[in-house]
Amino acid sequence: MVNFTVDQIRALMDDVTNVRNMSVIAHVDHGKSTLTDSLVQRAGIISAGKAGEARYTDTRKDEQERGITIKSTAISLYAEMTDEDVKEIEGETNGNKFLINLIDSPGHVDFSSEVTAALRVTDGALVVVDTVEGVCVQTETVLRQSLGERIKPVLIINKVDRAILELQVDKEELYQTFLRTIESVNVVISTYQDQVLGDVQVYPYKGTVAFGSGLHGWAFTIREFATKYAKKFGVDRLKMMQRLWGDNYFNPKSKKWTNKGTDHNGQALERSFNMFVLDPIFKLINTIMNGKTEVARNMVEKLGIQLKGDEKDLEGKQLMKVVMRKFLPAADAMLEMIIIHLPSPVTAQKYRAELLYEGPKDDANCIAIKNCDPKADLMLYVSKMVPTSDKGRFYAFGRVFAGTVKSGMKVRIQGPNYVPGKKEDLFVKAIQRTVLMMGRFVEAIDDCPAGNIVGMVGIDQYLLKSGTLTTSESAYNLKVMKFSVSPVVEVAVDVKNGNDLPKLVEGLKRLSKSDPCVLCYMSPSGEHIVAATGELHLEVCLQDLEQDHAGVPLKVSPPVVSYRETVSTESSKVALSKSPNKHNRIYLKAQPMDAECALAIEDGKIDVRADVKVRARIMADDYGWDVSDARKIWCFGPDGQGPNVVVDQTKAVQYLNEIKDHVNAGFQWATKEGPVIGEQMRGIRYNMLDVTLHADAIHRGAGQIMPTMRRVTFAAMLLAEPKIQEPVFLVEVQCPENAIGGIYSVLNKKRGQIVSEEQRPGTPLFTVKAYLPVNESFGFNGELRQATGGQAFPQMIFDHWATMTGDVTDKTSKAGQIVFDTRKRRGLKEEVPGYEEYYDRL
Amino acid sequence: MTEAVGVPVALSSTQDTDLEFAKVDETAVKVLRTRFGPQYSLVENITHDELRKLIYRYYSLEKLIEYLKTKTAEGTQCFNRIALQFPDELVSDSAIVSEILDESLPGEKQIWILADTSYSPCCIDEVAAEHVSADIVVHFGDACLNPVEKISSAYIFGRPYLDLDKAAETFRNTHLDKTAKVCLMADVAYSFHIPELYRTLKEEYPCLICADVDFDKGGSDSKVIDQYVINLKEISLPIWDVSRILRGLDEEEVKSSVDHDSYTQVTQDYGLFYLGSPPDPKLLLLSTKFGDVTCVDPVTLETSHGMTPSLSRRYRSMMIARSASTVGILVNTLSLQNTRILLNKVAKWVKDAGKKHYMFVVGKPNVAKLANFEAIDVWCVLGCGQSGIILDSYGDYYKPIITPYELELALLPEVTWTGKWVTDFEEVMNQDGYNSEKEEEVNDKQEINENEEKDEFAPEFNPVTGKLVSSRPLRQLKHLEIELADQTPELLESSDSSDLVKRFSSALAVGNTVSTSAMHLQERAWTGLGSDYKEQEEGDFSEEGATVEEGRSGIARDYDCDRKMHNN
Ligand SMILES: Nc1nc2c(ncn2[C@@H]2O[C@H](COP(=O)(O)OP(=O)(O)OP(=O)(O)O)[C@@H](O)[C@H]2O)c(=O)[nH]1
Ligand SMILES: [Mg+2]
Repeated sequence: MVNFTVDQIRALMDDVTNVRNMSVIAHVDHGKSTLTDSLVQRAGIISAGKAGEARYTDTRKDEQERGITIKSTAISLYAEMTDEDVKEIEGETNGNKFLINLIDSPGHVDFSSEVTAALRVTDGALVVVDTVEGVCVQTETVLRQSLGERIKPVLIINKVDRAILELQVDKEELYQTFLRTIESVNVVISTYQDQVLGDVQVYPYKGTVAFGSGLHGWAFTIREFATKYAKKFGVDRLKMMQRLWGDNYFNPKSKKWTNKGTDHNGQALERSFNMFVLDPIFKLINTIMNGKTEVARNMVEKLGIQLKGDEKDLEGKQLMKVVMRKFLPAADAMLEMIIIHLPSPVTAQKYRAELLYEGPKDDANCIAIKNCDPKADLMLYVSKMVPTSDKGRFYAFGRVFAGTVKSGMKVRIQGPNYVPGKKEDLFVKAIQRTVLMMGRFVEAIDDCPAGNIVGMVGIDQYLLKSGTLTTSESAYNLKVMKFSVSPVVEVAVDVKNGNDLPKLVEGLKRLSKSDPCVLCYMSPSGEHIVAATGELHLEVCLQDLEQDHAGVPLKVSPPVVSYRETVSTESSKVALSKSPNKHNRIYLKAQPMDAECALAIEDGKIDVRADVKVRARIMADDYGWDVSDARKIWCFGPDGQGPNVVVDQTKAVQYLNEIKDHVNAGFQWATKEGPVIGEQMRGIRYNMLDVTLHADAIHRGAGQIMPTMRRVTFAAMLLAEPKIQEPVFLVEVQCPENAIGGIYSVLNKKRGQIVSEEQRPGTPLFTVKAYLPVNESFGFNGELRQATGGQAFPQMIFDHWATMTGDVTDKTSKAGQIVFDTRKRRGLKEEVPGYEEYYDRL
Repeated sequence: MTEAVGVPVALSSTQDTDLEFAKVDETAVKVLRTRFGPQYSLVENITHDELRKLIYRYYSLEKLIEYLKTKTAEGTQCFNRIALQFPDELVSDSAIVSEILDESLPGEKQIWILADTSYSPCCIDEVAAEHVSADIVVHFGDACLNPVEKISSAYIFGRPYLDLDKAAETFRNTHLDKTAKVCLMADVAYSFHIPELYRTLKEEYPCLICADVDFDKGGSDSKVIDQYVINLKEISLPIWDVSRILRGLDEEEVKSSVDHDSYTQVTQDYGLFYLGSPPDPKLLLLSTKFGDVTCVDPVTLETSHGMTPSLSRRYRSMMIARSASTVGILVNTLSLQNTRILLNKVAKWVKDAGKKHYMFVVGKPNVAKLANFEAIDVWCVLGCGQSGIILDSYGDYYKPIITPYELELALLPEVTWTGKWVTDFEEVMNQDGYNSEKEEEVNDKQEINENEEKDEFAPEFNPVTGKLVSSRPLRQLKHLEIELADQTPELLESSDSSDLVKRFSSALAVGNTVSTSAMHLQERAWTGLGSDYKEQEEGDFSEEGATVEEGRSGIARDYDCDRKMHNN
């Protein structure tokens, strides 16, 4: 730990070229928090007495109890590098002092939104992969997300100790394991890589991969060993790095390097990595663990490791840890990777600016972000809210992308729906205080320049979860984050005691703020709903709500799934509805939208807020739309941004533009609560074929058109074989071979669909991937545990919406049953209405 | 014709509108006859004379005539100008009734039939009666008995037939437990059967009670003709917001209710056996007062399985009202006592809460009429509790509709939900007395908060959508005024040709108050004639303009093209 005054830290922030903002991301339990601990112990900037406690960043009580991270936590680190190291940094650098803002993120899939929020404010990512488990679902998800945000990765392969001690692999096996893991990581990277970033695959010989054990506190990069050997062999370090990885062999007899695995006699040669890197590690560990303490002491001395007083008396595992930690300190390896290979804000914002900013690329604010200019107008993105000790109040946590944020400064607070020039979602308020956020401590600072991460007090009431702060009146928003997970698991909550109602409502507000992804809303039938990404997320949210945010006893309904309404074919005939006064008519047809297109609208790849022509181009080029159709999209719904559209295909209809607003309003209304079960519609394209309007404006007003548009939307939908869509999880289960049978039988029972089954090379473990309807996932963990004797651990992540094949009106089909149950629960008429209810005869 | 549906493109210009005027349904007439007794429901044709006799008896016209003959102290006729009010389903009897009255009343009198009541059919239509300066309104059919502001009135419920044995049988079938606490109640018309039914069943069901019509509910200016005789010895408990009096309770129970100033404590323990089909608002009221409600069709004597309107939907609407900026106050009665007072109160509540209100009278409200006013976030309807309140059970209306009582709850600073359903104007206003004290306290507190600084414009969390909203446009007035002052000089300087439009559309304050409706108009894509023209110039729409056609002439109800259609 490093002792610093706040002023000293503040001074470091001005040297933005020497700042690194990075996240630690990985699959659950691969060791992020443990590795972060090593860094904190070594370089954490705090004066606190908390040092040495396990998992420093797991600040919540339940995180410590459950042993997993739930919320992402930021801490600051300080490091000094040698001049030689500094020389290797690609971007601009000033001196050899570095400030690192690190965010430890949760690995459980249910908390993916925390990762998204962390990635937004950082420029680099330390990806952790477990040697034994290899690349898992969540590894892929977080990598994909980071690349989507143009965030550069470096890799650390963790838990190497397990491979050596538990699995007893030999050196070559271990090398192969490493190789495979790196390859799988690179496959993911190259799949999702953004051209602008260049080649960001990771290579051990370039120093972007480290190997180690977080638990034992050691890790190394090839670069470290290359430094050691460069002198001995009299070659340049870069050259040496190349030689220490891949098919490079050293012939000890001839003292020659070769890339063939055998010498001229056909004798096998040892791979240089195994010989120069793994060998010393294996020897050291094995000697100590085999109890040959004396031999070990000699080796330790030879390596120049100093043992202090009582450390000398240690034996076995304890001794091994101390020795390894001194031999190859984990923090050094990671700091080296982070500082040399991850970009500074100055470097990163050059290419991230255009992705971050909603406005034109050449406006002053975008340019200021590109230049990471501390003197420009403020551009700050608040990515999440962190609870303060003052109940119900939050720190707004975010990153300054341009300008400098100061205590007492008046800023424009722009919520996610803000549109330049309009007043919606806009507030002008003063920031009371700016603070540095370090784990569980905060320190007040006067200001914070571009490129840094900061917390703010006093603006939490104006933002729900995230938003943009700026001082420029013309500034557009910084892009709203899109999450890879959806809140598809819901429960209804109610107070046990009626008098507690105000507390519940207040609690729901606080819960909404404190979690980037949770959704609190009211069902049409008047229940308070909490929607989360999975069972664990839900459990955590409800626990927070009951014990903390609301603080009152709650009644919770069994979990249910949220569905969507869609169509499976084109409307069998043109739907026609007349306005109540019979003087206006709308003719509409529904047809299914391409699944990818619907997804792209949801992901923001098709940006609803973008210019019509730009958007039409993308829809035509990437999603097979006819350009002129795409230009004639009147509106998206529900909420003005959902994956359903109205396309104007009318010809020369008089007064048509006058009713656009009413059609839009009616469409939003219709798509928000569909006719089948009152759920949102999804993936439907409505073609408006013709409209007849009364010549007098008074007879084609909102009251005539809006309800008519709603009716005709329903009619067109019901004429197009309506279906419901259910959310589906991708399940990944790792298990030994004998448990596979059990997994299959449970999956079969639960409408699961096996995607793949693979053995992880070099291990006895199998990975089974399958699709599992969210509806069937409740209690899945328990049943799986039972069926496999506790040997299988599933990870479930929302994957897609699947259209259920059954007829929604047929109660004997699964879909029909769901429709029936849902209608009953919501107090709707039992039968799904026929199209005739909304259809008018000519 | 079915083919034509597939080729709509050609239809842009044609307007073959089919207008139909409402007619009395033949089958409805047959159903109506069952009220005279089972023997008449099957008869194909009843002679006019026979029908006259039946109607004479059914409406107790003899007693009515007697009442209408009442003379003042000076000996002149009290009622010279008589208005007869029929609900839609009984209008078919109106001609005969007026004929009979005309023949049997002495002196110079004028009789009008008021059909098509503008508001709820259960209330006296004072306004329509005033149009003909009537001295009295005689109201036929189901009635709420709510007192009206000025005019004298007489009620005739009718005396429909009821198969008492069958009714008792149905009761026994639905209530197997003989110790069940049940209350008998019926639509006012069927209520005269209740004492008989009660006597029949009381022996088997010791805990049975019954509800008699509260004949005095209508006030001193109002008289129920042909009141049935009530056994006055029994202890009674008025349940005045349903215009009934409970009988058959034991003393203890009545006392306990008086203590708490509310009868709900007593009735909660009772199930309700209701003869008739109450309109939704009344059904909801009953379901909040009684343990559970069984409705029985008085003709078929089968229990109906209609859904009771759900109170939790009301809760949601109340929550929407909390975060609404603009409240539309919909006046759905012009005659109920205290309407004006309550209207003013409601408007004041809304204003005090920093929200904007607009007042509306739209005749009989329907989906289309209300959807015309897009700026309204929530409607508050002032109407008769029996049928003048719109309960939008299936979400057909664009925006939720709540009652003054619910609005009052919604405007409280803290989320409050009592689970009560209060529609009686007087009761709502009484609640207000209690609340305004409370409000003052809260206001004090608020001031302190404001002194502390800020928060005035802070958005609130809307638990319905899960988003933040600003819902107090009036509080932002000052804030806006400053902005407006800044903008005006700019506007004056600019000499753009569209100046006028701009200035109007950017004005949010009209006549010193914020206009949320102007705000709403600014959000519109369509900004007036010519605005689409611009778009077309910019875009690559180079379609030729349409040919000029002659439009239609006439008034909306009666275009010449429509008339042609009908003549064919
Ligand atoms: N053997 C071994 N165990 C390790 C190593 N690193 C971490 N662990 C253990 O793995 C478990 C999970 O470690 P964490 O650091 O909490 O993992 P994490 O990635 O932060 O987990 P989440 O935040 O919940 O996703 C703990 O029990 C650690 O002790 C390692 O290098 N070797
Ligand atoms: Mg962790």
